[in-house]
Amino acid sequence: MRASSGGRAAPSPADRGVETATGVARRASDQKPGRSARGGRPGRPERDAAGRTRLAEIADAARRGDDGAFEQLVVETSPEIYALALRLVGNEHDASDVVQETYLRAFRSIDRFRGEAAVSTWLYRIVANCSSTQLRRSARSRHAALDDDTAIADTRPDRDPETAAGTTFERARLVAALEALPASLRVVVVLRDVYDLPHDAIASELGISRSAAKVRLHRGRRRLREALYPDVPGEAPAGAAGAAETVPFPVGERLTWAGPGAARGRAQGVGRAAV
Amino acid sequence: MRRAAARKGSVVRRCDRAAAYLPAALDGEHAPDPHLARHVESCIGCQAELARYRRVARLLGQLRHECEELPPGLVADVLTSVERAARRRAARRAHAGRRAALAGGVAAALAAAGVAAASLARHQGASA
Repeated sequence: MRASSGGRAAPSPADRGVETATGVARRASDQKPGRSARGGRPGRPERDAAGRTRLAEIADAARRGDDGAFEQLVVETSPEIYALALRLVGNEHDASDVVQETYLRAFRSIDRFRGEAAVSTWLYRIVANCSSTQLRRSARSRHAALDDDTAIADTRPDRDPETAAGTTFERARLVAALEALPASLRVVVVLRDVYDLPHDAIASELGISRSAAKVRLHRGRRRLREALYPDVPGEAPAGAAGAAETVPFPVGERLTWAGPGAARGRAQGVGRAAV
Repeated sequence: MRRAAARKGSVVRRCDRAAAYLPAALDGEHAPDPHLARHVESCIGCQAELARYRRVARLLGQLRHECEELPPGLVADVLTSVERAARRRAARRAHAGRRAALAGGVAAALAAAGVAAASLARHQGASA
């Protein structure tokens, strides 16, 4: 991003999609994405340096007002953004809402994105913020017990990890344990250990303190370790093994967007949920 | 013999204390005290536990490169709502532009009127 911000070089062949972005985006959106990782198969290879640069250039073009480039950004990133949203909120319906909201916020705030962070990190943070709002909303509507500690049940039929082809037993157990975690712990574990967001970013997007984020992370990790190695008793202190640790998802806390834009004191409008 | 049992007891206590710290050790955090750090380094049980946490972290990291099949129509819906937002923004900008132009025009007219009035006054002053 930064590299391309001063005087854009001639577009590389790989970059040509941006120039005709609207058409490309439309076509690409019709294509079915690769077979999902439902079965544990990698859905897409890790984005390499060239891929990241290309994404940064697309984001740069979008920032300079090329709406077609923004469409291209949506097409390029939506599979992983949806995967993240699904891991965070736990069901397809809410995940779709989160993806919609994420890109709307991204569109509105892209002129404040200066490329200090990777494009994907910037998007992950918005997803984290939107998911947090969504989880809080569904916690409120489930006003029965404020039982945020209940794992969000995934009722999709092909969700049984054992039936998924090519899945290692260990991975399947881990994914099942991850999905069974209370939302408040799962969100932090996913953002930190799966998507590698820094503690500070996680804390600020979730509207909790850094130390609270760490406590949740460590509890989540401990539960996953117990799920993965149930036969090896951890030297865990009393209460850690199996006991229900309640970390309620903070229903009342106000969420503030503290992403790249807020750092420059321009948070208006971004934290608002446009439902 | 009794001393050995006591030592074993203290090792177990240290393992218990270490268990609370191990999930944090993954992030490279230091042990709360140097004794505990030394214990974790030399205790086979704690090393094994740490290895289990590392395994969990490695497996978690691998999930990042897995994608889910997008629900049909989701990307199209996103693009539609972004397009709508883009149109609204364009309309807002055009409106702001018209207002600016209008304001500019009024200012220019006022300025011209002021200049005319001033020159008229000067003219009248000179002829008087």
